[in-house]
Amino acid sequence: MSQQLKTPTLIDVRGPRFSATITVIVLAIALATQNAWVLAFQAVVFAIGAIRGPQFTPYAFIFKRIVKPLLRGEAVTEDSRPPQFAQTVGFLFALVGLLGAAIGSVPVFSIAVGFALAAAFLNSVFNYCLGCEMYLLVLRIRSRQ
Amino acid sequence: MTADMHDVAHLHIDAEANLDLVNRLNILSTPTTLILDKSGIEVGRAVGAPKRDEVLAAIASVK
Repeated sequence: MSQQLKTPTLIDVRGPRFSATITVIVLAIALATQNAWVLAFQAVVFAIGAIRGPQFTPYAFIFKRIVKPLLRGEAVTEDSRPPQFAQTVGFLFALVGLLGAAIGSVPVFSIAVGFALAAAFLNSVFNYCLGCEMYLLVLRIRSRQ
Repeated sequence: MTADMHDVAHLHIDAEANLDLVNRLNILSTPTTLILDKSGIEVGRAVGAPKRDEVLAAIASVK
């Protein structure tokens, strides 16, 4: 009935939350300054997280090298796939924002960045990862088709 | 954690590889922990990583 397959990659749950905090700051700067280059930088970070995994982004590197050694308590781990999916969602919003900038549309840029910012804020402040929650639901819908 | 509990079995199931089961049990997000009694009936579930004390309490209530 059920199979026990390959062990999923487990990552420290605090990593994605720390990364979300930096994401909030970067996206807030992009929104406040309406600067497409700042969004482009975040888009590259999202792309790395989406393709290689959330544990390979520059933010995750900072977490591992600087933040994690300062933290106490046991490291609770989680499957890397839901946060990886969340990075993909973030990348898509960043892409829409960049398209908005390309066609000179302030509303498209602002709304797309706003959504990504809101999701990163939820993750950072409330430890609620919207993209992660969507992950299994999306897989379920796909499996029915 | 269940290693020293001879009458409790822990089974890890990969949700992504068992989507039919995920649909059938209506699992909405990972990780979800199901507590089953000895006849396999679901007596509780925890969405998100449950704390150690919560798991111990849930297991104690089943016994």
